[in-house]
Amino acid sequence: MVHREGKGERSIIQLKSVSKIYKMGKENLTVLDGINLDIEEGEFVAIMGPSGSGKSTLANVIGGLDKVNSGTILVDGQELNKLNDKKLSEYRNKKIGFVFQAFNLIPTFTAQENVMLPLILMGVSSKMRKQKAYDCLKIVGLENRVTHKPNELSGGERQRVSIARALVNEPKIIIADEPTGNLDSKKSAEIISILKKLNSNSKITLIVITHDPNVAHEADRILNMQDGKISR
Amino acid sequence: MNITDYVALGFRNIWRRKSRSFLTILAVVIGAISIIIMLSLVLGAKQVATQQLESIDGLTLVSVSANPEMQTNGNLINTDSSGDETGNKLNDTTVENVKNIPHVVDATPIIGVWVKSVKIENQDKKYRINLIAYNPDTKVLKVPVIAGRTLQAGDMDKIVIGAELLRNFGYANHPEDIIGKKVVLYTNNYVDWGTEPPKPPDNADNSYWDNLQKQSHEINATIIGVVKGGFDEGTNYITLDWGRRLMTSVNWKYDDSRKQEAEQNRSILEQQLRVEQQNQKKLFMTQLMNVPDNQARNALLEEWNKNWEKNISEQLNALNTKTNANLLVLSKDDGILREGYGSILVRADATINIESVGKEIKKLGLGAQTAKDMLDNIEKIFGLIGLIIGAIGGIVLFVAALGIINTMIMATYERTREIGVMRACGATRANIRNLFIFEAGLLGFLGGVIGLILSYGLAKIGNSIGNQIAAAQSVPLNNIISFPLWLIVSVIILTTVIGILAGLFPAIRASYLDPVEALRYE
Repeated sequence: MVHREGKGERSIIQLKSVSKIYKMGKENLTVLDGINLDIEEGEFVAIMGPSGSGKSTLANVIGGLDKVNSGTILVDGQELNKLNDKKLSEYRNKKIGFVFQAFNLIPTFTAQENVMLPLILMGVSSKMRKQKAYDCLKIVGLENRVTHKPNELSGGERQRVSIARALVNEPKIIIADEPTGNLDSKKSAEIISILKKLNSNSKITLIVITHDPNVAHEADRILNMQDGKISR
Repeated sequence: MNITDYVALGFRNIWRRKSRSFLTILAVVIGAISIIIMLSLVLGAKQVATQQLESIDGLTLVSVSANPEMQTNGNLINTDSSGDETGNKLNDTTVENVKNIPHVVDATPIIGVWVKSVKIENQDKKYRINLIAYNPDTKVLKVPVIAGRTLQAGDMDKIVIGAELLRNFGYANHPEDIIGKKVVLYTNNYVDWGTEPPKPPDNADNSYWDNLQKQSHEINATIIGVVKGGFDEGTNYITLDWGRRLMTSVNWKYDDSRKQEAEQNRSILEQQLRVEQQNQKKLFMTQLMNVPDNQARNALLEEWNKNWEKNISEQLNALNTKTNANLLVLSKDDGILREGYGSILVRADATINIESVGKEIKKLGLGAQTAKDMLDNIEKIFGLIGLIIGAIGGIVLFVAALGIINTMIMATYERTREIGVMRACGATRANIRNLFIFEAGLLGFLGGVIGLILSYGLAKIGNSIGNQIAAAQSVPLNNIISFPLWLIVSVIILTTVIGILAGLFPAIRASYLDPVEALRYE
């Protein structure tokens, strides 16, 4: 078992001997190799490791974006392997918020509309989703950028919009895949401080994949990945 | 996800690539226009024809022609009697035979009266005129009038004019004022009405007769009624009795019996003269005995012979010239007696009996054309035109569908990353699929709506041109292109369904993209 420094009372995420293998021609590429992992509710976990070590795949698997070949993934009482597309989508919609390195905002949408996207998918009424999106933009300090399109925003602002988007459905878990990878150190610090605030104020479990030791340093726990395994 | 959000997102995405969307929709628009024009043309023509037939209770009419193989010309009031290669003629006996068929209420002969032109009093311009004669006593042809009265039996030199002539004469806005006005009909030959042809002079030669043929002759008539517009606007009506008189040409002709008699008289006279010549010759010969000189005697005989021949030929010639003009009589040539009626119009007691009446008429060796045949024929003609336009429309719509498929595939490539984002934010496969299907359906829908709007404009233009052509050709059709509500609805449904079907493949393809791959897509 991996040593834990959890601060919550129970595990929100439990991975048991999770393996994922890509078939590349005749070769099999093992991306996740029998991973066992428990993450406590409200924990801030940083995942580090070289490129190709499987950290993004691990995050995607937990986020319900990717499927595994074997093992079980239990998140908040739901066994992800057993969910169909609809249930899995609902899971992503309600319990997970994603933040990406490339921000992945929809270029034709305003900041507010981008933040509204999960609510649109959920079928929330127009009035309520506008309000919620505005509230979330306020949390990340962008209340005066509501009607701006992504190309009218700086990199840091874009990432804050995407954090607001991850936040809008009040998820239990936010998964950030190199959220500061495209930002300078000052902006990185801002982003991490927002995420950290969310983690401590709203008890949102935070999983951050990063190359930046300064970012990892902020985490409750650092997982180092190597060749599809957690090495420490 | 709510339907309103699908629609809103669809519109946004279409708007995102304005020119590409415009071109994609344009193809749908062209296809929709072709389909609309086809359907409205076919339906409109049938509808207009049916309405016009109903206005004269035409659905129980059967037109009888002499030729059993007579093809319908789309006009129920048929005046073409030239189909009698079979030697058949429509005469009064035929009319009686037809009347005796069960379910036949009444029948009237129809004559197309040939008149060169017409002009109204106090105006100089002459117009072409299509004149039909029928028996107003029968319960067959109902000619609805908007001014004046319909024809009655015994109406001679009375005419009921159609809307076209009313317009030409300039009375379109006040038809009641034209009642009682005199018109002049121009015919090529003298007919059994109006002035008699002048008696030709003695020894009239060919050029005199030719000249007589070239002159037009005036026939006076009075307008007593105006036919309701929209119905066979180019046709004008007179009574059968008068029509028959107008179709009877009157000419001076050498009377054969008188000519024979005259020639007999002439040959009798010649014989008498010859006999007398012989008798006189004997007498003269005895007188010549007294002349001693042989030569002088011969000269005298020759002289005597010459005088006699001259005398005879003078007397015979005198007889010839004197009788020449006397040999001419005024002769009437009844064209109807010779050629038969143009057609017979029959009214049956009910629409359901039309077919059996038609069959009975055909048993008499005659041609029968019912209102149904006429409608079928109009449908056939417009059906064919419609089929061609429709086929073009179908091909265009098929190509338009390919255009939508192409546009949507392009859109899925362009938006691969967005698809990934949406999936990450909780979109199901169904959400993604529906999003693209809505967008494709919207392309089809917009094409249908724009197509309808443009077709409406085209129909307005087409109808005004079509009405002019129809009026000029005396074809009884008005506002051929019409837009029933169900056509509007079904065209929009059709183009929308085409859009949805075209969007199906790209949409399903997009929905099955791997979210992780999609997020990584550059």
